[in-house]
Amino acid sequence: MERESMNKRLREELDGLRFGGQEDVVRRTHPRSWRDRLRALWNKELEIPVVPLGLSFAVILAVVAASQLRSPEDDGDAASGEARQLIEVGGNTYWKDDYERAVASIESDGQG
Amino acid sequence: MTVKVKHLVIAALLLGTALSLLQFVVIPKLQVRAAVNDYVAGAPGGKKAMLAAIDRAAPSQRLELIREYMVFYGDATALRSFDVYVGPGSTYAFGQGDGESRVWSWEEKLPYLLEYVSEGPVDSSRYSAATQLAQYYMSEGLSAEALAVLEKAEERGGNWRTKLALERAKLYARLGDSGEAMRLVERLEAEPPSVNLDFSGEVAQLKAQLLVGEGKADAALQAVDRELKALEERIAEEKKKFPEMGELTPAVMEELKRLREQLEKTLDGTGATVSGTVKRSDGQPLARVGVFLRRESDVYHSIVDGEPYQILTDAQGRYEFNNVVPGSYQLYLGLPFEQIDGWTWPTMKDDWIEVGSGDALTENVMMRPLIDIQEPVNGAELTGSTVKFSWEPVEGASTYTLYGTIPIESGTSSMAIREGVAQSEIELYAEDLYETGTSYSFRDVDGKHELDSASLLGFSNPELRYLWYVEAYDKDGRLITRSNGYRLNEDTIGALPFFYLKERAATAADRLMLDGRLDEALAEYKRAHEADPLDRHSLNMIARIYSAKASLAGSDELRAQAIPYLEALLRLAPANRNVLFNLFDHYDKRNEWFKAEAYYERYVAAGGGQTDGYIQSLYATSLMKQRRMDEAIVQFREALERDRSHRFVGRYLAAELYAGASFGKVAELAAAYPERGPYESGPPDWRKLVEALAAESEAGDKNAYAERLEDALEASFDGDWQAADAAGKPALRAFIAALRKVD
Repeated sequence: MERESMNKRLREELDGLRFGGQEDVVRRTHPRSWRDRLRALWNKELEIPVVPLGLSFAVILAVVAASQLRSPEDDGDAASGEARQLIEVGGNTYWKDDYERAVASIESDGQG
Repeated sequence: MTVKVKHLVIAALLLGTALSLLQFVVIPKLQVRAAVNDYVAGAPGGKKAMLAAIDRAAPSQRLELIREYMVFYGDATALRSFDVYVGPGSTYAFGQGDGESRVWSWEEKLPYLLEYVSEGPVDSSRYSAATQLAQYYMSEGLSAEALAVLEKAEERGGNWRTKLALERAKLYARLGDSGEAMRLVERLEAEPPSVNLDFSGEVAQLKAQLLVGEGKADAALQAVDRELKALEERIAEEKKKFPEMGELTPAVMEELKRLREQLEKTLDGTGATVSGTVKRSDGQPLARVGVFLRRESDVYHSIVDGEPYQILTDAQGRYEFNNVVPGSYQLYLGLPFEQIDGWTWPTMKDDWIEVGSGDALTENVMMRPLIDIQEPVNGAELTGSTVKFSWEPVEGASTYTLYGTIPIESGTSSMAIREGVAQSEIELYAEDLYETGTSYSFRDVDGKHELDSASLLGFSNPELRYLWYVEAYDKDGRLITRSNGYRLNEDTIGALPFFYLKERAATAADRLMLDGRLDEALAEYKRAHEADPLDRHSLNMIARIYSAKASLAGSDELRAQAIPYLEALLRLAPANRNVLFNLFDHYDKRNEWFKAEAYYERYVAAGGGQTDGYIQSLYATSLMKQRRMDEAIVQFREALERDRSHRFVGRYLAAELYAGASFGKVAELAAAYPERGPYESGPPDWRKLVEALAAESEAGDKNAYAERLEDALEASFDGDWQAADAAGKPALRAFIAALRKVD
């Protein structure tokens, strides 16, 4: 009883409304024109795995940045970025790294 | 996660924008910054990185980088952009010598400087770029290009127009076209005065040089005087305008005053030329090396812009200075690392070039390869009773001097171990090495200046790593080459000159010395000496400790305590020159002439009849104090030939005056043996001092003056300076005051 009266009341209330969007719905579900197809594509939903994709982006970014910062002109042996120091020992002037290498090599000879 | 395609596309677009921002804005900025950092720090590849950064930079930044790091870096003018500067008795590196060379080669910087001259803003940097290019073109023998680049820069106008014109005038002068140079100078003189106080002084300097070149030294002097007066007036004006500015002396003022001094000495003089080549001993000329002919008054400081004679060698290593004002000069070189690496220029401390009026002097520079040392090297531990030093023989060497180097608290200390070594090797007793006179160092303990007792051990510390080097001399005593110098690559680094002396073990007393317990060590050495009177090491150490303490405290009493030990040591090592000299010095100071003389004779004999200028001068002084004037004069003269610094010439002149030589003769001697010394105030001008004496004598009673002079000299010989000074008469007092400072 009660249900019927509800139904009746709803019908009365919606009586003035008419659904006129059939075409639009059809266009969206079955796009024909280029425009409709583009719009469909534009609004297409994709399922994206966030973590792997984010990580791979980060990696690509890092690689690009690094390759840019070390330009191809810098060859391998010049990659240290450290200043070479001169050192004066007993009236001789050496590059400090050369000198330290030479000292290390004679000391290891001495022990060996 | 679910996203729509449109969100994905927008995200991609955003990312793309960010990436291009990074690519075209941020990364180039970072690259420039990295390149600047590498370059400034002298990191390997820094120069390359900088060139790459300049090439990639945007046009506006490009010019800025060229200006900052090519035109202007450091003190870089064409002539002041070398890694190393070498002169008589001095070598110094540009920029504290840290890091790789930051100096651009001309191959590297030529296109950039040319670009800067035509594109750069009209300011000091373009002036600098143009003058550098002019110097470069001159060194390439392209004088027309040199003049053109200056003229081109000048045409673009601006405040620096007149300075560029002055540079052009200097070039004409260098090219021998004094007419054109003078025309430009006159044009510049007619210009309204520059705000730069130095400028008109520089013009006057060039004018004076040109006038001297024409033999008009008196006109040159007038020009300098006029300019000095004008400068003083302008300074006074500026001061009135800006009273808060305080003292201001433009650098050129000093330069002009020095030039004036030089001109005064050669009023009838004409400009001279000094030319030569810079080559290696294998014949290879050194192109684009900086050559600096430096006045006596300039050599005590590092090379500055205002010095008038600076040039680059051409492709054949040639250089030439013209219109050189007569006077005393020293030659300096500016070299990049690669030109000195493994080589040395054997110039000596007292190498002076005496430029006389109208002279055409040739001064060739010959670089020599460094000596290769053979043994001991690379930290060899020597345990035998003798130590053999050997090195590659040097062609034309007549003797070698062997030096040892001891690491001390704040660096190293070097001393000659043996002079006059005839062969390219020498075998020494380890004991003799221990007794080599070495210097000692001090250290600050709780604000107190204390002896560093470990340094007193000299060569007798078995733990210490010693170093050595050798110098080769020809038969005239000229340095040929040396083993120490720049060794900057695998081929030149050679064997390391290190060795350990482990022939003896450290004694209990030595260990106390190493621990810094000096007084306990002294007591221990004394005990050891009593137990074994033949123990040379203990004797040597006792004498050393007393001498060092004496010099620290300035105490003659302590010095006297060393004497019996030195004499005992001498009985065990009769030819120890160091001990003999100390004993001579001690008895000489106490006026015990007989003993002093005996030790000096033994000292000379122990050196095979050799002495050195310094010690011979002390002996001559000793003779002078004894009033043995004729002998003193002979010794002084010999010593002056040996010690070309002529540091004792004042005493020699005093001896001559006392012996009755005329003022005229003594003034001539003073001119023949000018005292050298790179002191800021300059060494005394003995000729002037003697001439003043002559004038003072002429002005009054000559006989009375002669007596006064004799009394003053007598008092000075006896060390009674108060009495010597009391002689009154200003010129006499000035002479005595200078004499007192002789040391």
